[in-house]
Amino acid sequence: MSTLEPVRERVRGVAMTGLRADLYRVLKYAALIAWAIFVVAPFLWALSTSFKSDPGVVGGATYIPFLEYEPTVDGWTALFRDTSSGGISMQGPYLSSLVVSLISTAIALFLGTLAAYGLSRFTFRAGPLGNNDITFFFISQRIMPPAVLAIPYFLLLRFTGLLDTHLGLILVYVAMLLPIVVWVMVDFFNTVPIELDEAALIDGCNPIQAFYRIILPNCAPGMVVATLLCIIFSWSDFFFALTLTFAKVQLLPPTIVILNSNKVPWWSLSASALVSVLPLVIIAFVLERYLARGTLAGVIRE
Amino acid sequence: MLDSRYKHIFLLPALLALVAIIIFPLIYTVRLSLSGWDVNFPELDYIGWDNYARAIADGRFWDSMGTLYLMVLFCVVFEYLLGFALALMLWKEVTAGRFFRVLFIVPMCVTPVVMAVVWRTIFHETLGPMNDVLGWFGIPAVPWLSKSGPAFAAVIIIDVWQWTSFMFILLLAGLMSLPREPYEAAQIDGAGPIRTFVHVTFPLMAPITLGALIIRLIESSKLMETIYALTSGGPGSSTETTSYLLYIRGLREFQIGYTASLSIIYLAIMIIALTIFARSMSRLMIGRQGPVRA
Amino acid sequence: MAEVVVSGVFKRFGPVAALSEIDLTVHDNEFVVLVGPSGSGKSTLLRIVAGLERQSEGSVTIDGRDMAGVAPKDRDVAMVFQSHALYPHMNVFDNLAFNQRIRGVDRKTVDARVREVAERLEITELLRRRPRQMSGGQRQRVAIGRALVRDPRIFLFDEPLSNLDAELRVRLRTVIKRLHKEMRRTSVYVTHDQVEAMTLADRVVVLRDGRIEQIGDPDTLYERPANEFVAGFIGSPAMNFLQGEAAGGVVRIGTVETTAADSLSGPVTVGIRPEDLLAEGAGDGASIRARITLVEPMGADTLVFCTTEEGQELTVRLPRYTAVRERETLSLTPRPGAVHLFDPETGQRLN
Repeated sequence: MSTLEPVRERVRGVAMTGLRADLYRVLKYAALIAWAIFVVAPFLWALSTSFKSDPGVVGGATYIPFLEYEPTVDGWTALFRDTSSGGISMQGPYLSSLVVSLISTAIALFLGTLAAYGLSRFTFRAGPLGNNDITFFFISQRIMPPAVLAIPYFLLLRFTGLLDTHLGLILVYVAMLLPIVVWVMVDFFNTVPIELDEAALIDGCNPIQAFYRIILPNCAPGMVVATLLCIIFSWSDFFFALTLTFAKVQLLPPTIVILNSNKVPWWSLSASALVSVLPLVIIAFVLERYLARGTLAGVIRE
Repeated sequence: MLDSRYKHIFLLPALLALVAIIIFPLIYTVRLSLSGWDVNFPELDYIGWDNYARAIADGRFWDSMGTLYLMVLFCVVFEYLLGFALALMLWKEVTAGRFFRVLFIVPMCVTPVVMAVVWRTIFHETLGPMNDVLGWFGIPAVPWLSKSGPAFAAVIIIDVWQWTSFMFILLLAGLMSLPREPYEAAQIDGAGPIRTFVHVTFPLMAPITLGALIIRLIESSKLMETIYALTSGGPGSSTETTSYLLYIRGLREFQIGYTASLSIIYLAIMIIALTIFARSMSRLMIGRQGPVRA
Repeated sequence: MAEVVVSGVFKRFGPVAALSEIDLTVHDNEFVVLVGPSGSGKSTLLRIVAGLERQSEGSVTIDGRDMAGVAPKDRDVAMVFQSHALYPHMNVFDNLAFNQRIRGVDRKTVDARVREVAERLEITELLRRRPRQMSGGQRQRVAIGRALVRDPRIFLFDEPLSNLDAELRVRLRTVIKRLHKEMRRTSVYVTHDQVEAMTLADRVVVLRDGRIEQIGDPDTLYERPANEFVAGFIGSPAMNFLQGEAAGGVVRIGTVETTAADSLSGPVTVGIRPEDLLAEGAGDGASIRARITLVEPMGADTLVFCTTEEGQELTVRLPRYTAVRERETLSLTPRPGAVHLFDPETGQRLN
């Protein structure tokens, strides 16, 4: 997979002919459509529910508006109303989530890209450990379950007064995202020939200029993938947000889960779930472009 | 390789960040596990290995581990089979291929815990669509969230819904990176589609498959958020995973020292289990020479 | 003005020595070619001069200034890479202009210089193209142009023609040679192709296993190779080597005799170039008799592969119109004065 000059899609495998091929096609599309329905079903259910009111819910499952229930926009307007007027006011958590995930993504991207470039281009030695070991050390942090880290984080943030602050959460997210960035970017940098760096160094760049003027622009697809993955992971985190913030900082996922246990009506619950995943669905569309190109293939081969 | 005095500027910031945010807390956890820190006595004293002795005898902890491994096993196997099947179907040029690909990766992108909230309404025994749809086929209502078996199944269904997409995209990327020549050779040798799959596709995919399986094992062993939103570990403790138990013991009951010791045991077992798995699978799937490097 | 002095340079990668004891002076305006088989350390030496790699021992000076700790960008060298190494995200104009811009040269000067170089290399119509939209030959022209725009003290070439097809290689070789004649810049050129070395160089440095085997101008290298390795490496097809016995001013190869220094005695390795074996033997005892196994007409001349009665393989270059056929027997005699003698133990030249 060359990221610089994408190879045209090639056809592999052995073709079947005749009746068997037709049968295979029919079965294949049936399977694909079945899975597609399974995938969209929860979203459609939530969408339908978000326009319901009491009668549409309490009588058992209903699906089609106008036909089975009278749609209202109550669930959606509740997102902007205060709790005093029966709403769930999601603007605050939404903004918090946006700020925290964007800032932590930016920091992780900055640190992780530099590290990945270093690991791809220079030889590092720490005793018996070399570049591959250091790379593995970064990536292996993904093994750590959040539940294990939550206790020391809780205590450390309390000591430093960062408990229940945006900054505290951002620091934790940076740690969570760094391995992802290093993982994706080391592989990307490895696909860019080192002669480009050397040409840049001879042309008059110092190593840092060679990095950001020559190599980085050629790794744009990798940066996009890393950025999107970071946003997905930080936007979707629930555990750290739950355990390290309470009152002052409220992010989307814990807010919605708490609504769930507070017996908030299904329609506003569904609406809030939909708005909170909407940016991620959009990201999925962009991500597909890059992932399906084979961007990840080298990364997985460890 | 380049050679420069500047090289540490690139690596050190991230490395220091990682050490500060991961390694230091981990060491701190080890120290905590040797203390009796709890709600009544929040101090870093030293009580030796008492916590560990207590952990060994803690049936609920080991049960949670059993629940976790059973869940992970079911999830990863289903996700692999479904993901690989879907990837094989969308590998070659297919009408509407892009449409399906985009659709199929949506689940892995959306917030698990938020989707679990939606799933909870779907699994609702009387008001949810799941039992309603089953009723169309004459299947009696299933007590999804109030019986341990169905609750266990519900968690797996949600996990499969969410993460098959991840397997799918990894395996699809792997398939698209396969070289063309072995297929041409197989065609010249007159191999049919099934033989081609068994003798060419599957072996060529082995390293990627192994990588994908390991990634999913690692990620799914953190399973906690869905359970938090869906079942709270119940009914009873039938869906209580280790991560969930750690959360309850540590940050609900504030048995800090004890939970730290559980964390360490859990981490150690997980690393050993993953290592054994990776070793034996790579031997089984790829032969003794180990995975092919890209 | 630029003189490069490499003295006492060693380069080790772990326990492996890539370069040992390298002493080399590249004079001002000289075109020096480093040639050797792969793994001979020629590229490593070039990269040490460029500053891309650091030597383990020894020093490199340019115009008397020690280059230790001087970054590549501050050495005033330009380099052409085998893989062209053009920046994929820039068009040709920006590729050529980049080194000037990063050095803070003003816009108008850069523009003028780039256009001048583009004209000279006949790539003006490519200026708006991206590297991926060009052929291999065009890319390498641009890569040469990138070095020219710099107008550096020293040009470094790292196998610049190796990735091109045969015809382009010859064309660009003449481009490089002409440029050197016009610009007269100190140049160091790495190649594994001895034809390139012979055609381009003022002086050739032959390397093997990280050591210099011989330094000399192309004619000296061809006519008086310092040892068996250089003799075998330079020249195509390769020199023939035969067993001989020296005694009393004469070297005996089977029944053939040639003159040698009086002091020489004992077994020697005799080297004879394919064109120095003459098929004009009388067929008597004073010639090497060899049976033809293969004939390759080359156009200008004909290559004949044959086997002696002792089972020794020989290559002979005969004039174009020599009528020879496979399975015939040739009577060969070495051209007088064109015989190279080497010590069979050390490989060093004896005559």
